[in-house]
Amino acid sequence: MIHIVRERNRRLYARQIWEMFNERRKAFVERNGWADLMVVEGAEVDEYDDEQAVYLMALNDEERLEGAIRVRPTAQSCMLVDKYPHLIAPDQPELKGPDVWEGTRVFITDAFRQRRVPGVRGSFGLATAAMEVVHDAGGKRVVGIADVRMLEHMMDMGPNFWVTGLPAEYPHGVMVGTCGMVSEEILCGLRESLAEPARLSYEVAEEDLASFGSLAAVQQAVDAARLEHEVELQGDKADPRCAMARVTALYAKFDDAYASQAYPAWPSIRRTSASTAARTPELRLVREGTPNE
Amino acid sequence: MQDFSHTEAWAFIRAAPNYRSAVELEAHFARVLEAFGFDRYACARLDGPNSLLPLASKGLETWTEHWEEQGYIKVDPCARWTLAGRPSFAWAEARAWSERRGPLSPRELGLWDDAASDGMRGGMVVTTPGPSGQVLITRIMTGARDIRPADRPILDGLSVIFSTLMLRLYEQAHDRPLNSVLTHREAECLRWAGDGLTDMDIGERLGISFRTVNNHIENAKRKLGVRNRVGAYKRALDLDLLSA
Repeated sequence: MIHIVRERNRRLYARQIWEMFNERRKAFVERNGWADLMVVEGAEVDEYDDEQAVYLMALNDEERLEGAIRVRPTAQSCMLVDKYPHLIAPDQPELKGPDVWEGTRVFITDAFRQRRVPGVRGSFGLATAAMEVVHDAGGKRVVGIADVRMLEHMMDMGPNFWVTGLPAEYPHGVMVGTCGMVSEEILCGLRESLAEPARLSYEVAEEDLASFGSLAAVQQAVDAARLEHEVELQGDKADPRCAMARVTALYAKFDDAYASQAYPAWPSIRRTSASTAARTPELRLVREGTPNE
Repeated sequence: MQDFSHTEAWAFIRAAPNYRSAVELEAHFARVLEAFGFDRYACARLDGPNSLLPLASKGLETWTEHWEEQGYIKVDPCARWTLAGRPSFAWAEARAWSERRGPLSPRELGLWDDAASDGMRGGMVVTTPGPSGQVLITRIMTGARDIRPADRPILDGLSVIFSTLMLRLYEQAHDRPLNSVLTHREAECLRWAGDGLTDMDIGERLGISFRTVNNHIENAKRKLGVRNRVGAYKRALDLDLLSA
């Protein structure tokens, strides 16, 4: 499971957010040598770390940060378009607007690199989780800026990813603008590549934390539900396109099973308030016996 | 776009990912390099200090043979910088570095003189991190001594894109039929996918890129008439298509 961290649940991740800014300093300022970035009390922060920023975070079982990426809507501002327009060729479509998000500051910690345990699938998993968030919000494209040395990995995202213009020099090497399409079909393909038929990201709310006591416990429960979903899909000969409605229905099915006495100590996972068109189901993990919302 | 060469570069960047054959890709790369004044190139995968897999070459075959015969690897600063992981550099930079260390030895002078005699006075070397820890090396050569500063980042990016795509086309081409339906690689990738491995894990095991793994599995799905890899794995098992 990869955690969705927005303005409304950031207070649950105070330690991880601080860790993230510190790791960004290590990755971008110290390792990459981007000395022009702003560092405040050991934290790398910029103007795009605002209330609109959504962070996707991978945590280990001890709730330590293993990697993160930032995505942000571009209706008002966009790093690529506003600061690096020379990376955009004249024939490109509009790369800033209501259906375009921007992905930046992706990193994996050294500790994760050394561990090399499946679960997060590295930056590819983070990028996929970020695209889920963009898709939930109705976004159709994600733009970004990358060092040309990362291009080989970014081209792994497939034919729906492209470079937005000619490469250009920057103080630390050569960079390019990038753009990738987002759709349910593309997300299904990316998840298949990651051997993850269920969605990767989940937004933890206060109620989840109150029910389970810790982010790690919430993560464990969500991952268990995802594993059940995977087993279900593997037995299903029908086309298991990861339609959100199907995922929602499966979670509801597990609710019934868990609500029975078969797993008396296991919390049930069910959808509470339905969001529009079931695109962003609000999954709340509640303990058995808790009144329905 | 600044000039014709930059227009050609953009045309290559847009078209290259859609090429399905190495011939098409190489032809376009050669054209765009000519627009920048480069007439020779070579691309290879470096698997280790003594293991080089050629992927593409134009006009450098004779020079490469001569370079190996003369043992120039021992004195060529470009080789040293490449093996040290320097991402991209011009010949002029490598030579200047050698000269700052002291007078060039007769063999070092021989290297540069031989290259000049062969019509190569300038060039760039671009390294790209490849899958599974390998390194892709692209060398582009020109008769001109200097490279325009504005062209350097573009040539760097072009070389990264070219080498990445060449490797994938090479990997896909070097496959052979296993049975009447699947190739060896398609079956191999499907077997591992059936065990729940990711495309990255499979690529690491087989020493091929993640995108090539994905292409093999997508090909298998298409051939087997199914929409997902779990279904493809099951159908292939049912039809006994995965046995070597």
